[in-house]
Amino acid sequence: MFSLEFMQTAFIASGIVAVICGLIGYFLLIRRETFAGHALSHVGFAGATGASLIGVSPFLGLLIFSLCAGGLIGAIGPKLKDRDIAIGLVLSTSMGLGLLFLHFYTRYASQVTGLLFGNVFAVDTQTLYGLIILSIVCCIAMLFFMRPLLFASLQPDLAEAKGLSLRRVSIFFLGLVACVTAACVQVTGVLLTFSLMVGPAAVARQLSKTVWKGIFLSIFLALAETWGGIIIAWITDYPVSFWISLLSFVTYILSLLVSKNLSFYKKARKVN
Amino acid sequence: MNVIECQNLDVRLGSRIILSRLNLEIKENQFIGIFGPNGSGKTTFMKALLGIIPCAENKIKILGNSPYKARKQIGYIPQYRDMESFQLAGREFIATSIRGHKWGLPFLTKQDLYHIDAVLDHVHAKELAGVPLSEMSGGQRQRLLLAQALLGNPQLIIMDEPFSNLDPKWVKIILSLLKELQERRGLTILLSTHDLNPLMKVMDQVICIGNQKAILGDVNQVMTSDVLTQLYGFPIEVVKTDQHLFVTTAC
Ligand SMILES: Nc1ncnc2c1ncn2[C@@H]1O[C@H](COP(=O)(O)OP(=O)(O)OP(=O)(O)O)[C@@H](O)[C@H]1O
Ligand SMILES: [Mg+2]
Repeated sequence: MFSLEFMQTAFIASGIVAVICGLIGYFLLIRRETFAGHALSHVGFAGATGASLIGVSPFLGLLIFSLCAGGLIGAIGPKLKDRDIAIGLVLSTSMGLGLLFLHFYTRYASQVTGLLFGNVFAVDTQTLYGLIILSIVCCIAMLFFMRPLLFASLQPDLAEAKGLSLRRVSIFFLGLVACVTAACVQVTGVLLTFSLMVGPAAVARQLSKTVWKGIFLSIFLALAETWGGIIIAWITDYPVSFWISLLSFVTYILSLLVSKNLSFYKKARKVN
Repeated sequence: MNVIECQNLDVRLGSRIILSRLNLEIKENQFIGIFGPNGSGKTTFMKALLGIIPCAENKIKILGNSPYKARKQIGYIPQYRDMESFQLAGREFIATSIRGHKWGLPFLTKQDLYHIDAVLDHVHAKELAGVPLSEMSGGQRQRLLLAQALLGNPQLIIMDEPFSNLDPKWVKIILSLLKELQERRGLTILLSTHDLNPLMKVMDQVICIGNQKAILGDVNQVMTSDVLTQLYGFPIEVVKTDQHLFVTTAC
């Protein structure tokens, strides 16, 4: 299985994507912006189909569209009432727009399924380089940005009082999320980004008492779920994204059970 | 030196004037209660002092500087914090404010850990270091936040309604802690509340906010029927007993 070139590419590409999804996903969760993250991938769909229509790489179109949307959502800020409604409307409008673009561009139906549900085995070298560049950008950005991001996410009022601009943090972070979404779509597709960006991070947040443990657990789970998904897909011949989403869901349910039992156990110990 | 100085200060939110022509001076080592009805501008006033809400230059001096320059010397506990949903341990949570506004990765040095342990010790809450936020009671969280506010040795501590969901027992515990800290370190403490009664014994002065105005003075001076009636623009009656104070509308 590992000797095939497309398999190697699939493993490398999905590994890169899993690492940045796990990392950024953790912050998406503690900032409670999971819905915004979900929306960005859908906005990207319009970008990708639009780009194919005018003969540009869909990856690029996706990236540009979700970057713009990310910046916009960040600039609006979390304080606006009904922000999620506004985001949701933009999300469905972009899906509609994507559909319109597809209407004009009827050639490759398989490409569309790939875009919606992902197809790691179809990642070409050009896309792989794109993923590598994106992940390097994300990691370098986080190297500088993680501390203020953490502070502003956990204690926004205090961070503001210490001189941080919450709006700048928000714009910058959602810009990063947009990059990660664009990468994630290459593996899970537009519709299933939640599985990889939110699932592992949710488990990690639930189970870890320190930030670093949370981040590493989130990355580890994302890696395990994607690689596990690919291996099972190879064996069963079912789609990879199906397995990834299923693994993510099962892990989440398990973590709920584990943390419930843990707290139950602790309470029982306190009583005794 | 004055810890807080406001000269002819106007505070606006958008186009709305919240406080106008405010003049007050607060000396060091004072425990000040801030009293006022909902929406009177207590939080807004505090945010102006913290430099979060921009005001005209030179109208506010904190320890002789602009609020922005003085921000390292202020400990702040915001009004409402939703902390129940985090599994993070107490130490981890308060550690985020160490160099929190600077670039970099959130690593802690040995010295940072030492400082965190020290402030936790000051509020008698060493045992909270390893407890997840989601498992703390409201009073424990408030103590944790107080410990965080003490990081970096501030001269001034601003607390926005720290007692809003605490039972009387915890209010008493936190208040005696605050008084102890104030006396030991010569701190100035600004604390907003809807109920001044628990503060009667510890408070040096009170600021009453309402109707775009604010009055600073001794409790006996400010909390009188005449002054409050004038401040709020409708009849108010203040009934005082030995240790208690009731503010009601007079009709
Ligand atoms: N962005 C804004 N623009 C205009 N007015 C605002 C804005 N935010 C708040 N206000 C108003 O400013 C006033 C002061 O609000 P503030 O939060 O300071 O009151 P408060 O005394 O802290 O109230 P509470 O006791 O409920 O905490 C309120 O009447 C509120 O309606
Ligand atoms: Mg308030």
